Amino acid sequence: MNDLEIASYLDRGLSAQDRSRVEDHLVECSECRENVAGAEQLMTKLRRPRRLAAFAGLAAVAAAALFVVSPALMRARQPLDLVTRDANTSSTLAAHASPATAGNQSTIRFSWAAAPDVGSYRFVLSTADGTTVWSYSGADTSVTLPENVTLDRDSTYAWFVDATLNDGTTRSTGLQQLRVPSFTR
Amino acid sequence: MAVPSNDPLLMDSTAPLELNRLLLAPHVTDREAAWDELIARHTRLLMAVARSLGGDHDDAMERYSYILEKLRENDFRRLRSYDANVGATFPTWLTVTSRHLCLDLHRSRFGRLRVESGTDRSDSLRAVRRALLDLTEGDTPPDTIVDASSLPTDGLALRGDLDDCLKQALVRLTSTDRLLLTLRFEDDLPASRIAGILGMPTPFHVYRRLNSVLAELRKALQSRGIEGSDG
Repeated sequence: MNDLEIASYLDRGLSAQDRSRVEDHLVECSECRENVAGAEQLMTKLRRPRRLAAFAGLAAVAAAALFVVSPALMRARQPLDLVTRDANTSSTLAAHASPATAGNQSTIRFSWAAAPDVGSYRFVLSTADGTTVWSYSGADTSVTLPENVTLDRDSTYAWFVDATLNDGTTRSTGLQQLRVPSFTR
Repeated sequence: MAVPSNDPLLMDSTAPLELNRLLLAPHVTDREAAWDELIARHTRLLMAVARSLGGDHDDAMERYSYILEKLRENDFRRLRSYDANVGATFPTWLTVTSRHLCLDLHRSRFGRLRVESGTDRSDSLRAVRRALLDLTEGDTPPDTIVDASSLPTDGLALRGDLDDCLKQALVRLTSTDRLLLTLRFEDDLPASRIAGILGMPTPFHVYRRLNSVLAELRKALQSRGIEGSDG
């Protein structure tokens, strides 16, 4: 693997197909695994102080999730009590269900405050067991879950956004918890 | 400022501004100023990389100088190879590239660094078997997972069957799950580092996923008539 492939893998910037190809190679190549692990360890060290600072003052990259509920769900008088929570502090972060219309499809939009001098953002949504459901890398400060990505009701998901600044440091929303309650409680 | 049109990077608005400024600079003085700006912006990152291979302050500064020398080499050839459209941010790419350069320097002085794996595939299979055992079996002591050298002939055959089945079950896992097992059982990395490599939010996600994958493997073995994993 060349440096650009390793960096793209660590930034979750590869397509699913390329990511799978890279992971197949990593399983077989201990030297490339060492390169990936070494670089990741360095990046973790570089972002650590800023990450702690970010927790202290979430205003810099305070995150909020905005959920748009379909008319069908609203008619059922079963408001989706979607809650996001900072798993580290248990403080609720300005999340709410919005009675906006979005066709017949439930859509979920995640947004976060812009970080200064940012290179890119990395958004990751995963299941409770850590399996990545969907990820995004780019410059936008909000993302809408694609229609082909469905979330199970009565399930808990985790998500976070890391902002990589141009000086190489990172700010983070910290781990957020997303609970999708049962529709038929 | 004139913008040459033959280099896609120069037209790429997603590349860092300071990098574009450097590669676009029409005059030597502009280029030197842009170079200084780029290095100043990333000094913390480059010094962290230079220090990461150990040694004293002089060792780190030597590596730092080497990184700068190599980044400048051949009209910034390495910096020109960065492509923002591939999916890596510039700081991540710079971390990987500068670490690579430090390793090259180390190899040129002391020979190839030994990858601290210390295990081979048979060790990995043994570790996975042990983990399968630990997951669900409370009454079978782990030392029943024995080395091939101490097994009787029929035991060797059984162990061979188990390994064959295990290999077949591993092939059916996703690439991420196979890498997860490799990082844990072959490289013996802690969950916190595995989480960082695989992009999992916390080490707890790694543990949960490991348990899930091991349960899946155990189920696959049981479906092939292999009970437990104490072969």
